Amino acid sequence: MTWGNAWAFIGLAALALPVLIHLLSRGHARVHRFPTLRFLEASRLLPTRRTRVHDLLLLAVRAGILAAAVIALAQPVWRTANRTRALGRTLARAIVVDTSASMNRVTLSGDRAIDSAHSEARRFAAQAQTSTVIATHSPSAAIPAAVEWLNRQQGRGELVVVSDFQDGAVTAAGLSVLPHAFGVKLARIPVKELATPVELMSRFGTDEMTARTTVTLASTNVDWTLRAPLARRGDDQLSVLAGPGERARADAAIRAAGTIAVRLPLDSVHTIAVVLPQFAQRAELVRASNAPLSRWATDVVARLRSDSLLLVVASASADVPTAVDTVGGIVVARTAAGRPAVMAKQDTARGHERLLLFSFADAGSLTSAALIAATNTARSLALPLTELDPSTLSDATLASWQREPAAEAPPRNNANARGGTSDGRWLWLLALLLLALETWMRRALPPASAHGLAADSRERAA
Amino acid sequence: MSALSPTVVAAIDDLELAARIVVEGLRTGGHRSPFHGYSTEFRQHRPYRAGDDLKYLDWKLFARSDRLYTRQFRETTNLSVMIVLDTSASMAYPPHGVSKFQYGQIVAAALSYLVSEQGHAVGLMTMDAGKLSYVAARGGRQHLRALLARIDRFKPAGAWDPARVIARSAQLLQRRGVVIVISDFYDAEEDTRREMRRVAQRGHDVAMLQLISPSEMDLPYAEHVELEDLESGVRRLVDATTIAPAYHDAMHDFLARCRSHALRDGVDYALMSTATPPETALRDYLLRRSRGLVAGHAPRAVQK
Repeated sequence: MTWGNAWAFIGLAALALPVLIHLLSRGHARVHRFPTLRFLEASRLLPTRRTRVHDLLLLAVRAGILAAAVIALAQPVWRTANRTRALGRTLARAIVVDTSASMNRVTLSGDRAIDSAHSEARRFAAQAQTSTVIATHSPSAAIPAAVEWLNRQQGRGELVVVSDFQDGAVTAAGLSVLPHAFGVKLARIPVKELATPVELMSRFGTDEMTARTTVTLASTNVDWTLRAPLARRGDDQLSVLAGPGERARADAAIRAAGTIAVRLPLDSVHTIAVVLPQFAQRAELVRASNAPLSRWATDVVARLRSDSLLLVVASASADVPTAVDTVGGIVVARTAAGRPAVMAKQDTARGHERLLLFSFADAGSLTSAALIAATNTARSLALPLTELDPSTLSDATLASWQREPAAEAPPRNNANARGGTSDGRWLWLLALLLLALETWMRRALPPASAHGLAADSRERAA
Repeated sequence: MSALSPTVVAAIDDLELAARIVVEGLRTGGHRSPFHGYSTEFRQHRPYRAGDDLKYLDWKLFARSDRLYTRQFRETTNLSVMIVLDTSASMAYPPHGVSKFQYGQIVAAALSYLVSEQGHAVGLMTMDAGKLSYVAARGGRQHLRALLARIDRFKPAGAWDPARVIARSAQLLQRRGVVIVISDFYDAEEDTRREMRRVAQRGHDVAMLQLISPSEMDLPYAEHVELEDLESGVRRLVDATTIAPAYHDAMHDFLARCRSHALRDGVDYALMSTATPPETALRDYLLRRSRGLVAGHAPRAVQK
């Protein structure tokens, strides 16, 4: 027997209720006027607080009603031989579809890989009696959820992953959480090689150097170009606001930051400003801006907060004397002492959104240079490099990880009893019958203990 | 003519009418009146009724007129009957239907009517709000009406002192007479018994009419109930199911004790259930009394 909701057995504690009520309650006795109580004196009166269980049969029926209801709530499923054979024929599939950026590549037939993956998922689902499709950009991370779902299903279970299987999409460690009874099917969507080149740009003085890299399984080609800066890359969307006294140091920081390569293309729509400590209108900007950020600005700040260079440099810097508390906003990086080194706010005063990064570090410091470089990197719209990796798991590796589901479904205590498979309805029927019996006993039968107690009373009186 | 049920009789507002109905019902039975025959001085003739003692038939008049007439006698030694009615709160049971007190009122009224109609004196002694309430024993129609009005006026309330009421009623009888006590006899059992015995020893004819309702014989409740004493107001929570057998035994012991003590003390005893039509109960009682079969009633020679 399996239970769809074993937690319902906690309800068995309710069986104590009728007994406790019977024993503890003083009852609400009705008052009757009677000619004399003198003949009651001769009778041995029971204590008003009942300490004995009367009408055991009635109590047993009442407890039976509760027990039947509790067991019904636990959704029992009796595993008969026929039912076990039927379960053995059923198959539950958890289908994980890879929706990562690499699946945007085209297949050999010219379709997008993601579309082919969904078609495959539907085909696999149609072959199973029960299925679920989990679309995720990280198949490896979705496997535990798939296992959890399979554990709640009846019959045999199988995990299906539909992906191009870039390196890291599925790992042996990720599949190890799958119980042995569950099968594993890894369906590859074959894609053409990625021919999209990767552009990395860095600056040296007034010149801009671009490295154009094309990666294939056979070779990696890099083309280097040195030329004057191009406005189309959105350079004008990042400004560094410095005071007259710190302009030279700020320029040095900008030049230093330029040497760190950023991946193209850059965001040329949204504007960002790094506000250095001595900028003349800094106080006005602080007042005019506010902390809640729009979605794009939040993404930029999130990338800044995870920029390892900025974090390391800022935390290594000396404490800043500026009164940062008056700025407010979201902390982007902290100093070694834990005080904010950079804070972010958003300015909407000019009719368009501008992300303001208030720096508390000196304009010529390494922190300022790292902040500018990190901001440039955060503005990149390029795909993560992992999605551009052309290497995939070999067919041999995938074949070694695959396995068929067990021929017979293993017993699972949390078997899903939905869909009418639970036998709880019979217990509800039993509870109803017991309820009818209880009603009949209350109305038709004299208290079972009356004679016995009367005899007992007479004996005591004697 | 069948006997009217207690409910019907109790529903009659006019107690005199109710008493008359009950008494007429008695006559239909054709038995001899137990209170008749104490007088010796001829008063009048009346047409013979079935059941009249043949010794009172005027045979000479029959020879002359060819009609049967019964001779009636003037009371020379007027018999005094004092009715003692229990007005304690315990008589107000059961709360629904005919209570013991209503039944007692009808019985008292019927007896008064019967006694008065036979030319005897009838009086009433009871206790009202802790004070004795007394109507001297007299004869006559006017007196009967006043007496019935007094009986009708009482309401059962509080407790009473039966020994005191019985003793006083015997004292106020001018000469030897009949004291009829109508009660459930729950109060002061020993004192009541002693006083009735004393009154009987003084030469009075004492009758003990014990009223009881069927629902008193056995506890009519189940499970736990809280019973409130009608007289004292004391409440007690009891498991009626459990104590019912013991209560039944105690109640039967009490009734048996009342009967045996009455027999021993020379007191007439009759147990009347409120479920029995009053005329039936009275007829049975009077018939047995006239035959000397009533418990505790030793047939005595009528002294004139």
